[in-house]
Amino acid sequence: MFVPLAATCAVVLPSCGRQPVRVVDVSETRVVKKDLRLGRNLAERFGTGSSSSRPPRQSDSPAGGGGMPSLPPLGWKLPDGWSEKPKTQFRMGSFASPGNGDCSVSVAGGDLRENVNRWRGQFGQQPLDAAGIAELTKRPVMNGRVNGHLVECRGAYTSMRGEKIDDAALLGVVIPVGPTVSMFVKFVGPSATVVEQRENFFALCDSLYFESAGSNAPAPSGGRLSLAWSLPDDWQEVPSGSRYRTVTAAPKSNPAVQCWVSQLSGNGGGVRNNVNRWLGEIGQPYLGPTAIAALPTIKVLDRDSVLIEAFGNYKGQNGESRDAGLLGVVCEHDSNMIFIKMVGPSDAVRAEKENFTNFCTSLEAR
Amino acid sequence: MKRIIDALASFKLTIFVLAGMFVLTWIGTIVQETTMSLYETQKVYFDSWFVIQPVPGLDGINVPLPGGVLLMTLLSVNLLVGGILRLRRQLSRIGILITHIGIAMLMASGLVSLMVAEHGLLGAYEGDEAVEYADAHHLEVVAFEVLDDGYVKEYLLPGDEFIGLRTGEKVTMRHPDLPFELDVHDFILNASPRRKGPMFNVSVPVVEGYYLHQREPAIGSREVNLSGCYATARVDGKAPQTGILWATDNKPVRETDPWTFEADGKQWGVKLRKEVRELPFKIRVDDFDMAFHPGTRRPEFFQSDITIWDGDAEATQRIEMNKPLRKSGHILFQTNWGPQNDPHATKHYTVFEIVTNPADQWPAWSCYVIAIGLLIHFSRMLFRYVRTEQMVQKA
Amino acid sequence: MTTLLRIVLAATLVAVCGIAQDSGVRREAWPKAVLDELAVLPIQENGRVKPLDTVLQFAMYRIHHKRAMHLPDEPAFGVNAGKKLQPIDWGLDTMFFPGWADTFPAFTLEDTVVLETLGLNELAEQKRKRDRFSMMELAPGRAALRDKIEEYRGIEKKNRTRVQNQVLGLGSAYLEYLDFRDAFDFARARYEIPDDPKLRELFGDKKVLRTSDVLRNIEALIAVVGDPNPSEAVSGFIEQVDRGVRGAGNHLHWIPPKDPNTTEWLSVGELFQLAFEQQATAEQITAVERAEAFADSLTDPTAITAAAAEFRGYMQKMAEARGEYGKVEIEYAYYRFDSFYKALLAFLGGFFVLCVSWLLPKSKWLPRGVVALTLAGNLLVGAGIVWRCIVRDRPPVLEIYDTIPFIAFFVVTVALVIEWINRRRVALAVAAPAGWIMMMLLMKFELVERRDNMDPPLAVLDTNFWLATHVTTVTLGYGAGILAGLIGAVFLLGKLVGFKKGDRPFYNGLTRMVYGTICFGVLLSTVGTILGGIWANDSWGRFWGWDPKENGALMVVLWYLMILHARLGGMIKNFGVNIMAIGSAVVVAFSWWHVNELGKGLHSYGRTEGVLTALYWFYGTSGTIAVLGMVAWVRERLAGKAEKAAPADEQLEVKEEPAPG
Repeated sequence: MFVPLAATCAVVLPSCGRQPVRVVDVSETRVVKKDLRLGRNLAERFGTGSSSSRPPRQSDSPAGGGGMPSLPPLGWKLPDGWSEKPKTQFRMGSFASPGNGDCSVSVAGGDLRENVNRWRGQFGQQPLDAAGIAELTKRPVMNGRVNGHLVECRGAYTSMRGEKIDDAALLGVVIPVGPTVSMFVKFVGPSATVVEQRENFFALCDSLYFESAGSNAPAPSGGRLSLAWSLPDDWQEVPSGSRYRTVTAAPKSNPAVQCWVSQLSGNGGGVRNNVNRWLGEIGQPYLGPTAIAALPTIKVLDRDSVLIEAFGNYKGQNGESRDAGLLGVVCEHDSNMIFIKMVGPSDAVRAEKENFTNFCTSLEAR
Repeated sequence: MKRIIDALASFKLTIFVLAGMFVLTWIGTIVQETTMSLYETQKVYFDSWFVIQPVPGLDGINVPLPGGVLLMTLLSVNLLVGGILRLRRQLSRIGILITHIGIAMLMASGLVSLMVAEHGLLGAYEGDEAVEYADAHHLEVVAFEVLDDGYVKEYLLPGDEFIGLRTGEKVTMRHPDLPFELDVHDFILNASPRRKGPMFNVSVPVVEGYYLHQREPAIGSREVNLSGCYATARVDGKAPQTGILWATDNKPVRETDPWTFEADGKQWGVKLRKEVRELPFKIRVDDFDMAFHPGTRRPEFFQSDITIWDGDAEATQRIEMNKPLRKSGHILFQTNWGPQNDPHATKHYTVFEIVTNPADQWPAWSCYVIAIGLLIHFSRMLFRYVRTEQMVQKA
Repeated sequence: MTTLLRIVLAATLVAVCGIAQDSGVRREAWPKAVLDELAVLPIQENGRVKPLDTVLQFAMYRIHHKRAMHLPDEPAFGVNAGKKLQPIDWGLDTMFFPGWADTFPAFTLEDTVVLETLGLNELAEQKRKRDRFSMMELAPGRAALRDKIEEYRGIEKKNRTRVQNQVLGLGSAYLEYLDFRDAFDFARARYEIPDDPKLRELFGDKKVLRTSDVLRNIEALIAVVGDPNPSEAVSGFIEQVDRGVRGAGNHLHWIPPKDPNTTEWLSVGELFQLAFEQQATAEQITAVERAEAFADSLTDPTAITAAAAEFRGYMQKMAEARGEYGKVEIEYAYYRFDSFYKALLAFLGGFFVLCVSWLLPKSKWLPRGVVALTLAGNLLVGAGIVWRCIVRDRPPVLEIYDTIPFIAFFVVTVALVIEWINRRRVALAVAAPAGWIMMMLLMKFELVERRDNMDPPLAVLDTNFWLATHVTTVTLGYGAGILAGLIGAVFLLGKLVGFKKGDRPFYNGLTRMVYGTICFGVLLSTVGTILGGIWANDSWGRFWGWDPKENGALMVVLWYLMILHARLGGMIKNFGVNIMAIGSAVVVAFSWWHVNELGKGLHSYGRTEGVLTALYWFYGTSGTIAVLGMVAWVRERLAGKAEKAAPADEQLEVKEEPAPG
């Protein structure tokens, strides 16, 4: 009976006599294995658009400004005998060498000195001052594109987690990749291993490169496909009119013709609805299910994809009508729909048909 | 003293309490239709000592009523003193005694559940392993320190420390291993970050052009409040850095990234989230399956097949609606699944509700006891009634 | 498909009757054999396979709001003039003689205003004479209907006016009607093959294609269409076929799937989709042929019965091969036998004989007649309950609909048992009218609810153990409260009118009956409510959530407990017990029905309109009886004859009085 009373007091009392500032020395800590993405700004963290007040959606919105820029995906060439470990969101690359060496590529803010001294601290070595930092060896990495600072340590190593290796060595390269951003390639292991694998480590550093913007990293299920293609000789990439297009291209000799690739996840409305939508745009009659089933197909991304060819008139918003041709391909690829569409004046579209089909068949999924 | 005990044991008190519960339950049920959510109704009417009940149609007239806790307390006392201790020890009363004991067990289980039971949610995709889950209600602020090899050290500030903060108040979090002090302030129960425009002022800090806007607390399921607060990190030799924290985790679909600041040459993350609890065993979701009744969108069943590792022992188990997993003091219920809007989804996730409640099975036991007690008592009464009627008829 | 699209599509088809050859007007009555055959055509709807008759029955409830359709005695209705159409008659007419069925007054409207909202003002004026309208009459308002539906859909349900709700109701009835109307268009469809060398090559001398031919020759047709330069004729032909395919019914799922592991049956439209992927089986196409054969036979009275039998027989075989036909005929027999209606008649008969027996109190046979009829009625109720259990493979109480016959059965049984124990003829007097009223309530509710009450339950409810235990005991607990209230009403009204004035043993006996019933109720309700909590704990991890339905059950328990403890404490005597018994019936009604109208919480699966009105009437009546009872009590006290329980009559209770402190 007194318990409810006691419980009530426990709730009521702490809020009596509250001070404006209270200090709490927390005691609860835990160590867990976790993928953590640091350095994201508010818009990225909450997926807010301009002034949305709804809870965020799933996607990472690539907003700009503030904090850490997201670096493009990293590529490398793995030295012989080395293996890749699963990437964590904090490590852009994670490798193991023969002899229990661990190599990681990561990004952090903070200046050179703080980071170098952090590594030195793990080996029980004294921090370097500014002069000491200036004396660090510089070494070209990333195919000679960048000079990185080389850090070497040797001694008893204690990791952040408290693991100890008695005779360990560290080889580290600090690569500045932006005005306030550096990339760290760190190789730690028993000193014999580090010595043995030194050249391999440097080879790895040399082989690092950033993938060009425009190709997306492979996404987990439900995400966009990462595509590669080869453009026909006469064609060139042009700026996409819309951010939903993977790529837009136009023939140099026929700039009025435009061709683009776009994707929708899920079934995107189905083949028939999209084909008929395109037909509608140029004033052509819709096709019924029989007609759709009878359309020719070409192999795109290893799938039989419907190819539609039609000619008509495009009605603009002001009521003007102009002659228009359409070539379109709808590819149902697993959990995505890929659309390849080419429009332009009828004659030009007819002329580019072969280039179009070659372009479509050249698509590859990464 | 005796008079007090007499009063506590009296039938009058019993009737008062029963009638009080009746009225309270009735009002609570009606009120749920109009103004309050299930959760709020429970808080206001049943988890309280007193209720100030406005009279509909008579503005400004409020009637004080006993709340659920008061009534339950009185009932417990009345039951104990009058129904058990003071009950005449006669064979004819044995059924009643047993019944009352059963009711006492039931009330005890309710009390224990109220005080000690915890609820949480665990969401995981097929193929995922999990050793921890999120509490359904309690929040915490956590500071993350990145260690090597994908490990992270978490420093935890429990919600009790900052939830009741008023404007202008703050709580400072410290730890010997932390190279900074973290102030937590301006906690808002249901918040959303909004752009700070030039046309209005706000009383909370503006960070990266956003401020935390206070929304109406959610009516409906209590889990829908998205709480937010501010955290200010004070590092020696640097200007204080402030960030907005917003507890929007919805695993496994969404895990919000922490606010980041620098100290001691490293990046640190801070986040507001529902308290993380650890399972005493590890599970992996092997398969989730569900089916709609053919041609409808009504679910016919949902079930999850999981593998459990407890120490060295490995076992598989199926959790489905109405058949939870009970293990090591934890009960896992199949509660939700997804993605529900994507019929072409290749990979599903399942959500378990996890309850820890030592009194989990007490209601079942009390039910048996009550049933036995009532059966004994009423059988006797029935037998005597039949006999009486036969005598009356013969007369 | 969106509502909008469906209305437009349907309207187009109605307007352009070129695809489905209108089969005109039925010349002769449906032979009974044909009705019997097609009534058990297996259809999958809402997750289970059921007879066509059931599907049509509930469709008629939704569209027509009645169990049968009366047609006026006018020549336009030909053989149907002046007839009362059963759902199967009406359904077959709609599906096979759609043009004619459009003239039947199928749609029931409650309010003239609905017509005015749709711009059908002339029609609205006629409403004074009648409230039922045909498709033909409503068709001019379909554009307005479409607009209103879009508009009203956006308004939250609780904010809609009555008229808005009725318009939406009409909209969905309209669409459902169209769904049925189109369902067998495919069976009448004929596509003329133009004179084209390519087509002649494919189809030889055939001049007309039926739907089954199209399904069989999809590949060939696709080849024809693939021709980059089709002739006009061929284009037109393809267009025709396309339209037919697009318009093929999607509503009735009567074709079983090929794969035994697939659970979803197909409509003709879906079969077409499969055919395009070359997945339609010969068996499925033959099913379509059988339907066509039946449609063809409609003009030939000698062939129609055989064609119907073949069609049904073929579909039955397909369903049996999947083990899904087993309950279809049992269900049809259940609805044909209509045992609840027969029970209603028996109870009514019993009540009639009871009234007569009051006029002739000396007769020995009349009370026996009452018992016999009441018993018969109860057995019929029991039979209906068992039948439903068999059809569904589930314990008796699954939905709120099931609670009514179950409680009726319980109340009548207990009343008869009480009668057998004490032979006072009071319980008997209560049994027959109680049964009658509950059966009336049942029939009314079925019409108001308008949906098939045997469809499979929500996943969380899908557990036979808890359904058998918790739901049954709680329902029985409700029954006790109802019975107690009825006997209490007898007491109070008896006291009011001075029936058996001064006969103390009689009234004490009544009170004992009430008290005993309440005791029974306490046992059932308490145990049942706790079982519910245990079930909830196993499902959702919390024993008690203050959910409206849970609260309702708790209120019933509390009320019963109050009666018992107040009696024991001497706070109430006979009058008090009986007045509170009336209260128990009110509390039961609240918990049984009213909480569902609140629409919140995990228990909100039994929500229906129109129930609130009935509830308020019940509350009013009960309240009146209680008040009158109090008047009678006051009168007695004033007359100096306070109804104290004399020791000799309290043999049951006297030892239960507690020692004061």
